[in-house]
Amino acid sequence: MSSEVRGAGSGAAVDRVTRTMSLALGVGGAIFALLALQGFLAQHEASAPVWSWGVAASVFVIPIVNGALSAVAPVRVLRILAGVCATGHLVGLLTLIPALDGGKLATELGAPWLFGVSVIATASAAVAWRPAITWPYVAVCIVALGANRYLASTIWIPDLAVQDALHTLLFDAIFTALALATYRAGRALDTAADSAITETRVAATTEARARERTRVEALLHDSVLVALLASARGSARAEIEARTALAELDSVERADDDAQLPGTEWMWRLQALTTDLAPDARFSHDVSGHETIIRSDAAQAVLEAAAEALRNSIQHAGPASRAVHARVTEDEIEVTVLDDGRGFDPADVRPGRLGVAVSILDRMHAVPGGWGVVVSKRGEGTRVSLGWRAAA
Amino acid sequence: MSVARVDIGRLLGLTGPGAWVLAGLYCVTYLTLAAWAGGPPMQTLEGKVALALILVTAILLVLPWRYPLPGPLVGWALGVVGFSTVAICWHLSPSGWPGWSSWNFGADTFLMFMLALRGRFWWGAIGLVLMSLLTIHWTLTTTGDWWHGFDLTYRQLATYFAGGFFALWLRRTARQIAEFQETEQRRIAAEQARDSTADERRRQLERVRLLAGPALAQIADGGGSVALRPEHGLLEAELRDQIRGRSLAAGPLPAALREARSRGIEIALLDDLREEPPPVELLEPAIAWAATLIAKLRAGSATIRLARADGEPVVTFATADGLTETFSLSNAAHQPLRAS
Repeated sequence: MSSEVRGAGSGAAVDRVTRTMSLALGVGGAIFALLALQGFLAQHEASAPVWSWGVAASVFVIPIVNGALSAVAPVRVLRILAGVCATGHLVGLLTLIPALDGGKLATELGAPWLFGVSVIATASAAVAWRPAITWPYVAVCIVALGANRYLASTIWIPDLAVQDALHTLLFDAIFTALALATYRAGRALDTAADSAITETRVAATTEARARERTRVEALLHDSVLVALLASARGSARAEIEARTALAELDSVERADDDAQLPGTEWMWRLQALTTDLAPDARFSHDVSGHETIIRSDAAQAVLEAAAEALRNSIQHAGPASRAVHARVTEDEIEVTVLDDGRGFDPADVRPGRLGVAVSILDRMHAVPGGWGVVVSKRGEGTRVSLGWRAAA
Repeated sequence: MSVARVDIGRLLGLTGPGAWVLAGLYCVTYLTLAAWAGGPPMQTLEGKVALALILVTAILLVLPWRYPLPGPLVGWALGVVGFSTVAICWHLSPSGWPGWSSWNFGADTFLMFMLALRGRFWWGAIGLVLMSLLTIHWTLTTTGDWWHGFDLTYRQLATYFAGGFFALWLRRTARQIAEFQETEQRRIAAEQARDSTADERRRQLERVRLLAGPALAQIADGGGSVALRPEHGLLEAELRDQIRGRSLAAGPLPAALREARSRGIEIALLDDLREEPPPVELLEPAIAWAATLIAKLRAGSATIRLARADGEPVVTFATADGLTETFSLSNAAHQPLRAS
């Protein structure tokens, strides 16, 4: 036999509750069996052996077996066993008087031993059946217990029969209610999990789609629009830009976001990119996290945003000196692109301009853990800081 | 539900209507037993006070306290157990079986079980041990037989530990369920994000390739002739519209914009509500409205912008010569703001 494994929701909590209840009934059954054993041993010869051993097997042995199997048996089997225990108890109660020799139990033998395990049977009923069946079952058991207490006695004890039945009712009702409440809690947890999973799916989808759209938009801006604009203006670079754009579209299509990149490797790529785009820029680095591992999409986003920052600087800063500084720590990468060129006032940037907004800031914010800051002042230059921090 | 501390009481509704029904049954049962079969102890003031204290404590333990139960209440419950044991036992006959005259044992056991369910398992166990020790002390000092005292109470101890095991194990299970659900949620979020990312990327790239792929291939192959330059300019503007004017670049507007631009009109399409786009059904009439206005333009430049005005989403259409019209998405109506 193997235990069933379910995802969260879909009845997983109710399954776990059934296993917990079965284990608790096993432990409780063993304890109550020990407590009732003395009475059973004293009384079993007063009734038919088939009745004594049959009922004892269902109310003593089955809960213990159920408890032992609670971690491995299919939940359905556990519930069936619990149902057998509850049924055996009821059958025992309904047939006690006919099973007793002469229909009576000697006064010195005390109350029928079935009184002592009633709570195990009623709690088993809660595991096996719905509340609509369990509560009538408890009621029938209590009436039968009281009647048996009265009918099996050789002396006139209606008071004691009612008192015993009343106390057993309280005892059984409390544990049955707890068992049923546990199931209700399990169902509530399943419902909450189902709802949380639905919300999680929607949120994850929305976020992932928005992130990906931003990524493609940034790519579109950096390469496709550049190529088309170059062609529209008759630039000599149009052909190269178009090839680059097509290559980048292919590259994004093949990208594996789950891949990872060592921090030092990322830094060398940044240096190569700087040399490529701005050979006159001064490149420096500061590596304290030699073991740092970066998610591929984050590494790529920082590189692409840095490239856009460099392109912007070359295109708009005018005559300027440029510097690129990379920092790699244990859980973070950061790059600063600096120039002392013309600078600009962010408030003056026309809404239709997409370089800073889409290709740098949106691109960085679309990566979990990514950030970007652009600081510029007219006449004093521009600083673009980009980074990514690993989730805690 | 917090994984760190699971409130079993709240989970099971121990302060809810069902619990009050059981508390009522508890009170009726012990009132009946004490009144009907209480014997000599219930003839005394101490016995009556013990009954009253036990019933009051049962009600107190069903009230919605914090989890685990506050210390003073736990102390009170233990005090009631101690007092009731002394108050009842000291008036019982130390020999023979007391029957329901010793109703307090069962009543106290349930009080301690309630402590266990409400996060005070070990204090409940201490209460039961206290009850047992006091009873043993009573039989030892009155008859010299300690076993009789133990015999009267060991069933209660066993019952408590059986029920207490259930409470402890249930708390463990609830914690496991909560942890499992959190893990599952993280797994599902990651799985969903991975699937959606791949799907969205494929969709977006397909869109870009469909629009710009042939032109890019043509340019890359050296086919970017002078005749095609205007077409590439129009395409660049169309793609730019899709980025900067995301929600508006739909329906008849892209075709109207292309048509207008091919007539030499400069148009900027801006969407300031990119992060929280209005529903498509609200946008559709505004887009149709903007397309109609664009079609009427013969020269100059214009800006079409989706933004908020007084908290409401609006589309504005402004031309370089000062005409500004607004279309309110909420009212699905437009009105000229200023015309010159």
